[in-house]
Amino acid sequence: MVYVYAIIEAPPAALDGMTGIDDQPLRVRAHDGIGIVFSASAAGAVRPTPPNVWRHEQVVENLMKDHAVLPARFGTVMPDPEAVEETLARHHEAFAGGLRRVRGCVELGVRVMWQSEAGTGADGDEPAAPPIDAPGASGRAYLAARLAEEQRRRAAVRRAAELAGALDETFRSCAADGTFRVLPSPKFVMTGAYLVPRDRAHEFRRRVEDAGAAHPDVRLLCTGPWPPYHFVPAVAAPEVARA
Amino acid sequence: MTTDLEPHTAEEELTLLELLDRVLDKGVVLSGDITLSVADVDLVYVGLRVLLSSVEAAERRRAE
Repeated sequence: MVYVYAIIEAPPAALDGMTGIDDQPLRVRAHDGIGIVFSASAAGAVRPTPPNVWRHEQVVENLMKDHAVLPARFGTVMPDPEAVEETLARHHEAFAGGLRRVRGCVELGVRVMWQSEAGTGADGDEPAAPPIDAPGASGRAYLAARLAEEQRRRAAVRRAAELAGALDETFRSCAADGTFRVLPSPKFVMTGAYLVPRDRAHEFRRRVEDAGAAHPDVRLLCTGPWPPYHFVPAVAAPEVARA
Repeated sequence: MTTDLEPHTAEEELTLLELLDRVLDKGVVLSGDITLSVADVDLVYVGLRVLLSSVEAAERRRAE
């Protein structure tokens, strides 16, 4: 079996001295200017342990220094190097288009968190609804508290959508592309991923900082540069093994 | 399997979450050959949820 890390542009004939998961030397197969980087792998799944996940990431980041890359999803294995070559030939056009799109760019992540618990719609300063069977609790008080809770939750959802839209517009204006999710969990207002030209990464980060200063009810975290995980072409539907 | 990811600060924990959201969930899928099991992925995220509650605790401490 072989384990696949990434598809790269202008692959070298060999990747000397670089190793991947389980310290296996990296190998490359190329076809018409595009290469797939892989290493030998023992039969069976590569486990998603922290060292393996970090190694996958390090290999892709190393390749990204000198090449346009399309990172592979963690856990991608193929029967042998010949299967790698077949994949390369079959999807050459999609890979070429994908590489053109990310060339010279990095992915930057933005995570927006509520500054206080109140924004999450969770218990703020007002008490939560008392249990209906609490001593002395009236049905009316219970319902009123439930209503207040629901109103807080709805206000948080509205505020999140409004904020995410405004922030996305700000970030997108210095990015080649972008994608975001509103309220991926109650704790986070928004998570976004942006494809940013390398030479504008600094400007992008500055923009995130400025947005943080402009919106005191949230805290913003900018991560990266990452390989462009969110901006890869879809060539096949994931078919995840069921354990 | 192990989930002792050992980040030291709230920011590192969030960066780790960002990493996992990418490496395990995004990236090119080549002809249906992901051998990672759903149970494996869930385990990694369950480990992370423990970390995330400590993120929240850290944030609360900072706010106080």
